[in-house]
Amino acid sequence: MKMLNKLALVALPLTMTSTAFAQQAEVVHYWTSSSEAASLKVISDEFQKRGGAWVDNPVPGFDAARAVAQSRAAAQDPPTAMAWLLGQGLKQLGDENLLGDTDDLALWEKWDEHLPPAISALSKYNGKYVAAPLNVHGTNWLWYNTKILAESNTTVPTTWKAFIEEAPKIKQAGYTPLALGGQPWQETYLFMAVALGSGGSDWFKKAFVDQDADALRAPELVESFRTFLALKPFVDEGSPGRDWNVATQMLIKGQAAFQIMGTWAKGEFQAAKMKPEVDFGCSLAPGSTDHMVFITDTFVFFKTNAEEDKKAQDLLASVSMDPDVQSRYNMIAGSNPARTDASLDGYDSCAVKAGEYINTPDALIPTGAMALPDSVNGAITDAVSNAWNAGVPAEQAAQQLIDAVAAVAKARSGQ
Amino acid sequence: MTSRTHAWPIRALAGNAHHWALLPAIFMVFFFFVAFLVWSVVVSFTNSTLLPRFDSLSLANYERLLHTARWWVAYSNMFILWGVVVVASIFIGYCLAALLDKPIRREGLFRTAFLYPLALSFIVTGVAWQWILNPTVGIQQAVRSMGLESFIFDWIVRSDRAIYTVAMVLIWQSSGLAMAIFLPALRAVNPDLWKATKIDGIPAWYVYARIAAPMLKPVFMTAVILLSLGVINSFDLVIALTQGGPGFSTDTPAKFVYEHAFRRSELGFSLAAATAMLVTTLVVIVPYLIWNARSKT
Repeated sequence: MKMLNKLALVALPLTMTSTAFAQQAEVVHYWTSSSEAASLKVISDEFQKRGGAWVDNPVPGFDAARAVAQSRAAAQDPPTAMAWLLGQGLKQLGDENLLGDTDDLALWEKWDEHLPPAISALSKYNGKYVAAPLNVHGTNWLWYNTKILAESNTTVPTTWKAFIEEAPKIKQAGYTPLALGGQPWQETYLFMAVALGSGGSDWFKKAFVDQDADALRAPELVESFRTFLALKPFVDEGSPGRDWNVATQMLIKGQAAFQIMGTWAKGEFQAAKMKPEVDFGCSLAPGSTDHMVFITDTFVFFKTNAEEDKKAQDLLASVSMDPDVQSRYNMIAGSNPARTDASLDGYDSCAVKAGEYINTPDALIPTGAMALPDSVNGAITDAVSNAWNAGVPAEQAAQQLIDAVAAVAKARSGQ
Repeated sequence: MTSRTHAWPIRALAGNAHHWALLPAIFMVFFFFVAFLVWSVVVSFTNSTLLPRFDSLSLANYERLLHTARWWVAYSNMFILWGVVVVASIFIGYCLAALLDKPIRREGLFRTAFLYPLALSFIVTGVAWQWILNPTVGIQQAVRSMGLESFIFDWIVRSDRAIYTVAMVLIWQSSGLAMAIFLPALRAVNPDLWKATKIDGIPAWYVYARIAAPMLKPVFMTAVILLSLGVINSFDLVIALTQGGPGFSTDTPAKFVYEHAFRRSELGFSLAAATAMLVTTLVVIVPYLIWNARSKT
């Protein structure tokens, strides 16, 4: 009898766990830095307030998180939701028949009316909503240290030609004109900013969004590479391998003047208690002519047959797309809300600037990671990074990029 | 004894107990190693992207691999690393072992010091050496601040030299292993040999180089194999030290496969690269194994 009592005592808590919350969401994500985790907490807190149970599954590193998702999808044990990017990433998952959809919810909450058309188009697969876009980060932003500019008597350049003319003044004053982290993705961000500024938004869209092979063969690409490689003398020697935030620290510590980086760099300045327009400045990269290349984080929902999981996905989508939640989430994360009706109260001047571009029709251009398949993006990154580091002349670099993209396109067409 | 007291099934089991005990291990090796290897090779002939897809089989991935500049850089890097690291580590390891061979004071301290790098994980080694070799904060900066203004040591940021910094760090890490392999072998050499060479007046370095070394041939082979494994496993060292950069000049086949499979969703293509790596390894290992087996019979 005593043994039975002991067994019952052990078994009782086990039975209680079986009455789990009705809406339990296991979310795999890579938002592990302090500001990313703090901003995610806004969403998870709201989710739990509305009756859901949040099971956090952070995987540090974007690639590692993707590897986890791929493996689990292949094992047919996908998480409820995952942090992903819009656009081509969704298409890949959709082609493998892995995506569930939140289209009913989207129709009910009228997402079409409250998202910029560029974003709502990228959130759909086969015309149905499959993702809940959280934010808008610009990737072609110019960050500058106002004190160094004042000291070296330089103005903020609005074209790349002006940048190349102003930069030697900064170098003579003893500062590094351009802080660059020598990692392939950062070099590609810089190249894309130069390509947009040097070739114009129409050509840029044709070449890097519409994947028009003729646009790549146009002289604008060679010109972009020429301008890109002309920036090499303005980057310091220790650049290869540097992380993006270490490059931003060079601006904060007053060692470098300019950096081309996404709007997440703002978080670094804020953490160093620097004020926009006073200690640091932000503007679109030279030559962008009011076009913002953007990247959007989103939750993506895997296909599921369980009614409970579907309810959890809908709740998560609803929470993520709540204008108040988006407003609070993005304030901490340093980005802009994807919803056009989310309030920008309390946002700094850089975010307000970004908000204007978001609300301007046709001002948003999706970045390579969203517009191009990963394989094409990777081929471009290889060509750009190799050109920058191995000292390849502009014409050859352009040809290498064209060949790499063609090889990948040929492989993809065999599908 | 079993033949008289037990029935034949138990005799069969008892007599072959060692075979039966190995069965789970054989099954696991076959399943997890061989079967998945064959699966990888099969997928390399498909056009799989994110997940494996078996609709059509072709050599397209291999054809594309032949024309991918980055693959050739990664492939040749493997040979550069292998050649430089194995030769240099064995040479340095053998010299260290020869120096430690005579009874000296605090031999234990020296042995530990030379073996210490091996205890570090590749990530720690990579990060630390990345700072040491960086021209703006490392050796170049230190020497310049000591007065030599024109000193240059920026190999790690140069596309044409960065792979040799990876080799240098690998040698630093693996020489201790080579030394640890040679030292007991040298100690095991017949002490009469030393007496004989002393009487003949042969200098010690000649003994080590021309007499003891040929006697240690199997030990050299062991060292080569262990160091080769270290080179092939240097994936995390490359990630921590240079991240494959500048550009892709320090890319290795393992990193190439990983990146194309997971970051670029080109599963079939990456497995073609992995199969190419496998074939290369087999081409090197199999003749050696055959020669080894023949020389024993």
